[in-house]
Amino acid sequence: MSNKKRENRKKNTGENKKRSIKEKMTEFLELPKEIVLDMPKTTLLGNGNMLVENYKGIIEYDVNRIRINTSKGIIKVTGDNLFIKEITSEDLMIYGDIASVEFLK
Amino acid sequence: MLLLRLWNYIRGYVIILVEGYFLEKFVNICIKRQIYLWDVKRQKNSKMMLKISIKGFKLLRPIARKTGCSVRIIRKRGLPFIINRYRARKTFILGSIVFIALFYAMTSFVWTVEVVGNEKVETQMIIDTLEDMGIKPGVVKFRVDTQSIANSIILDIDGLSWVNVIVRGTKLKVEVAEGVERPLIIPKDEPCDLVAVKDGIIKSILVKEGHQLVKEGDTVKKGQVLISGTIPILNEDNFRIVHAMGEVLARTWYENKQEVCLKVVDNVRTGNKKDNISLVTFWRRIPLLNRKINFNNHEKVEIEKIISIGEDLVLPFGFVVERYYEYIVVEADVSIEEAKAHAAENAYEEILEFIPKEAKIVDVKVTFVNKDDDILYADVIVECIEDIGITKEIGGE
Repeated sequence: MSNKKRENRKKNTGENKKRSIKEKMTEFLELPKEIVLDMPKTTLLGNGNMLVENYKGIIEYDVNRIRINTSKGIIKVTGDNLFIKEITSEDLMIYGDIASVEFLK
Repeated sequence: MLLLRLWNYIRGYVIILVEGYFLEKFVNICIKRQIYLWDVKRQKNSKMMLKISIKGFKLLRPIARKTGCSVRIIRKRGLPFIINRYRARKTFILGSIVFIALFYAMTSFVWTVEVVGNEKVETQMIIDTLEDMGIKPGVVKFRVDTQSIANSIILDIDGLSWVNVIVRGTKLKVEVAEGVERPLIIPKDEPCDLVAVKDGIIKSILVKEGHQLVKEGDTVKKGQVLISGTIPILNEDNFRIVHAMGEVLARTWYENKQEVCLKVVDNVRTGNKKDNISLVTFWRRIPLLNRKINFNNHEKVEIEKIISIGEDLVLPFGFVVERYYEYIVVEADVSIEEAKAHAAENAYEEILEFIPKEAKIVDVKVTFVNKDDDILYADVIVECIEDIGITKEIGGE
């Protein structure tokens, strides 16, 4: 049990260390984080215009709720009259009255 | 964004309705296969409306089968569809191309020549000059060198101070400005008298040079010397000879008589008319409808209509309608008052032709005289004030 625990901890710390180095490097070199770290980039323009870059796919699409799968978990957008203005493999543009944006793990 | 929309329109796209339970999956697979979607609108009852390029639409069938969605085309938009629609109508396209080509050909000629701005120089004279240069209706527009034409016109025709030639549409427009005429140079070394041109009573006399022979209120006869060019020198027998100048205003009278007619001959149109229509192309007449005119008396009116687009694009086609009106001669009695007024007016109009432009009409008197044979005459006397002086060489004619 204790061995396993230790192994687990080791793995965790290793991962953390690795990630942080990568993050530090990108910060140091001023590289775009969303590409190097594979993170989604969301841009909100007021509450009517949302651009999500570097996403994985859409999980749910409705007039009142859109859930988007990303590497950092699921982004849930709720609101009224939501619709996808444009969708490509890199970015997704949502128009409508956005009420909330949530990050679900 | 506008550019993107325009691009999409040029490439062509379809609006489709996707129906099924796994719409998200459908969209995800589309994205994975690099199919660009836009304006994805979710509707109720597991329906979704979206726009997709033509290329993408062709790849949609396997995806639809995989996700169990049905795809229906709502609308096709864009240039490719429009082109496709007309692909079958070959003659239509050919016709439109021929039309454009013909239109271009027709409008690359000069069909009318217009002259503006001339008052003294006759329009016909300018047009004739242009014709001598080879510029007339039917000339190819691009060969017309407006600059050199303008230069030649200004050299050829006297009295023009500025000429501009523009080709606008199928119209060649010649804008001219006339110069101010050179003032008359008075030959001062030529000895002259100032004599009366016509009879009259002197109203005022202004001597600029010479010896005044008449004074205000004098009655002068035609040919009488008003201002003499020979000035006697006081206490000497000698003369000084000058060129007499001055302004002599005099009252003059003009008279005209006109018979008062109680019967008036008038042409009254009966209402019958006939039209002869001819087509005009390249200023050649082709009669389309040519009927015999069997009216006893007729009046001919020509109505010409040249087809033009706008004001400047005159085409070499047109119609001429020759309209013949039948009329009958009617003799009518008029009241004495009316006849009198008519005669007086006629007499007055006739007089006006004799009165020089510079003269000022002061008074018009109308009297009616009964001459022998009981014919009534309208006698119109017009009183004018005018300059009656004219120079005449001493010893000359």
